[in-house]
Amino acid sequence: MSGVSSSGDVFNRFNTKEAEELQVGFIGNPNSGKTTLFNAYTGAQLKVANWPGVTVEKKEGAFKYHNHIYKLVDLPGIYSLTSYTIEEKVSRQYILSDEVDVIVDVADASNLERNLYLTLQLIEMGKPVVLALNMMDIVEERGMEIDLHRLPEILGIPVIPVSARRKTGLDILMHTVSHHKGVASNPHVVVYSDLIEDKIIKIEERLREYDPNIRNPRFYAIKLLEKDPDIMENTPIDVSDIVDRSYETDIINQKYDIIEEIVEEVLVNKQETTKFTDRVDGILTHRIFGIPIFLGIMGLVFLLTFTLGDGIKGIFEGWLESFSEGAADALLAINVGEILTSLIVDGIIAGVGTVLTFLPNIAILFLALAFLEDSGYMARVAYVMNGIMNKIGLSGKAFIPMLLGFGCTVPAIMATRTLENARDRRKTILITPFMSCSAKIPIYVLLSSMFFGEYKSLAALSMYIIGLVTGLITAYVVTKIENKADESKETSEEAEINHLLIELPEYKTPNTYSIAIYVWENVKEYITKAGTTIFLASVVLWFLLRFGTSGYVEDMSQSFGAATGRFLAPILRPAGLGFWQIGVSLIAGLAAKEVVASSLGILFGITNLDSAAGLTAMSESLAALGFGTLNAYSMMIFVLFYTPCVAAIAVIAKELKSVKWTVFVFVFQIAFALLASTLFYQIGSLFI
Amino acid sequence: MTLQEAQNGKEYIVKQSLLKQPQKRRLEAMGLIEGTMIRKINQAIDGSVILMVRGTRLALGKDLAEDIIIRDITPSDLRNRRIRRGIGLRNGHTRAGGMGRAKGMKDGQGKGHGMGRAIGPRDGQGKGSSIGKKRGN
Repeated sequence: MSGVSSSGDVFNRFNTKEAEELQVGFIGNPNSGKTTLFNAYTGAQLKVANWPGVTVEKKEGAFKYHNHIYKLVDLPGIYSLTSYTIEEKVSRQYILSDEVDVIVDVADASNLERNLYLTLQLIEMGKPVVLALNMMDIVEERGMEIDLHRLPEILGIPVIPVSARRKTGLDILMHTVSHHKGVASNPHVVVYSDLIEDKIIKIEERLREYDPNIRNPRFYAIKLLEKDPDIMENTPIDVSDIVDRSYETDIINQKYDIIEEIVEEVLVNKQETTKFTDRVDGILTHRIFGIPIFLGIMGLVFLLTFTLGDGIKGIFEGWLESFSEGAADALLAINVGEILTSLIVDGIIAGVGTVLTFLPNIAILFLALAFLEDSGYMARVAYVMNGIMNKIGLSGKAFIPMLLGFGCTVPAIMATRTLENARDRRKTILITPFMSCSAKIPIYVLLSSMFFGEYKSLAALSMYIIGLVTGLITAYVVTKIENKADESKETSEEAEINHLLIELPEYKTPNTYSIAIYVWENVKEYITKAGTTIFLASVVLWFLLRFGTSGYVEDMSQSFGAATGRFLAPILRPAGLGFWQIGVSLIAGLAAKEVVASSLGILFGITNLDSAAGLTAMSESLAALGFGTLNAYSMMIFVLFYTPCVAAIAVIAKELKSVKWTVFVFVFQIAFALLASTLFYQIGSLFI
Repeated sequence: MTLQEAQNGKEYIVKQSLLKQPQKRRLEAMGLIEGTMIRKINQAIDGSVILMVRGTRLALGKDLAEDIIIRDITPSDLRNRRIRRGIGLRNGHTRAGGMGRAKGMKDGQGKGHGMGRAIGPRDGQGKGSSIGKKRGN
């Protein structure tokens, strides 16, 4: 593009053919489609990165287009550029730094009024800003029109209509970006009342006296008038005679006044909302039916996961069976030694294969979660559950990470970042692992199919209910303890009540593409895990179970693994789990929960554990040990509560930033699992 | 009355916000300020409220909803809105709008932040060209 245009060709002045690098920051309100846009550009190159010392994540990606390399930085969504939340601080620091060449303000065009507030603040910063009006397709659908000639005239920055979903306007946007490097926006677009303008001029003068080279003193003057703590601290001049009070509210008010005018001028056929969302919300957020509907939806999700998933699973089991037999025959035919054949067939295929047969269940669960997340229902759950969550000392918002925890604990723990205070985060991190993640599905399905016959779905479903209820009770108890501790302290830490404050997006028909991506990413993750962690765990387990003090052993009970399991048996016995095989599989499960299921296959020498024949063989083997229905349920309870996996502990450590708390969480989970399963088994034994 | 006492489906004007920081500021950033017209949509049993502010649906917990004082809309509100807009028009439009055009912009640059910026003059050019090109297309 730089070769074609002559007028805008300001930075290609050396006429080099080398690609020029442009650092482009994506900023915008939450849910304005920033990441969709980011993905549309970067495709598969997206990677997740941390900033040093901050808790909020930004994403980076790069792509080459014409003669430029665009380095895109996706910043967390924010409503304003004040410095009250970590996200806001991080975004502001990034924009004020010289790192960024052009800022792309991604605005939801269907919600122009609120989005322009951030736009005006960005313009005031005097950096190169391009406004990307996203979701133009929705604007059109609703019959609204935006005057795309008048808006850039008023704002003094280029305004590019795009649709990240439909991938329209993307080339034009980057073209504009490439021509906009070094083109500062005009901070005078927003003009305040005479009183404030006078003060701004006075402060500007003082700023210039102090530093004649200051860039955009207007921005700092406005921030000083707002008594912005960050800027006040870093500005060594005294303006207290001019700034007699905080003018923040005045400044916000006047910005919104201007926005109202702009919207009045550029938006034709303004429609506040779609009737569709109102109608759906009338049902889903109903004051009485809201909670039952939510519980019903979740019940349906898990029921589908187990019943529908089981149906499809049969096909996979068939494949696994023929593959396993074929592999054994092939290995025999090429004269592979017996031990190696055993490793491959009994170790790897049994371990990895068992886990892979559960793919249909996993895919269905994530498909359902994708629908919940993509439709706009997630935020409603926070509202619907707020009452219950407040009673246990959390905000309804804390329910979102918990809900995500049904998929995978790792991203769920990361999602607790949206919670405002540290206590809430800690509590939510403590209870989120109680929400059974997808990796626990194989264990639930295996054990309940073996022991609960026609009630197997119900048995599996009960784990979700027990986990949820226990999580809520745990949070309640922790809150009570915290409150007690506060009372005993003289100066109680301000008892922060957890306020719910969340935007409810418009409902939209879930996008097939983004749902497909969501499900595929998770399925891929599962397969990758089967190929790496579970593969490795299976190999290690096979070695531990096939080798003992006397070398290779035919009888697994003579192996190192068995010795370890026996060591644990006395601790697990009160819970009805005092068998060395169970001990081994539970330890192995620390690597990943699926390993508990796969290790059972290895332990009992059943290659196709999940098939009807495999299940019968397995339950017979277990029954021979004296492991019955009660033991099975006790094991399900233990698995429900104990440490999810190494990855979850790692992310908990990262998010809590405290070794002490992480160790506490770990010990708590194991102790709790032991206590709960023991309690169940002992009480259960009285009746059976 | 407070937002909690308001009727579902009815529009009101925000009279006063008794919220503490940082919640107050956060809501202000979302456009909920004194004088803003809002519409209450729903209320849950626990007292949480859904309301419409500037085209955005917001869910607020009970504690927040209790601290937002609202009043009914009067005909004079609508009139005042128009008047206020009129004042704003002078401020916002003429000056802001003028800035967007090439001449006004150059003036603005000179007076405003052009100081100490080596690429000051280029600013105007770049901007002019990119807007011009967009029109050309």
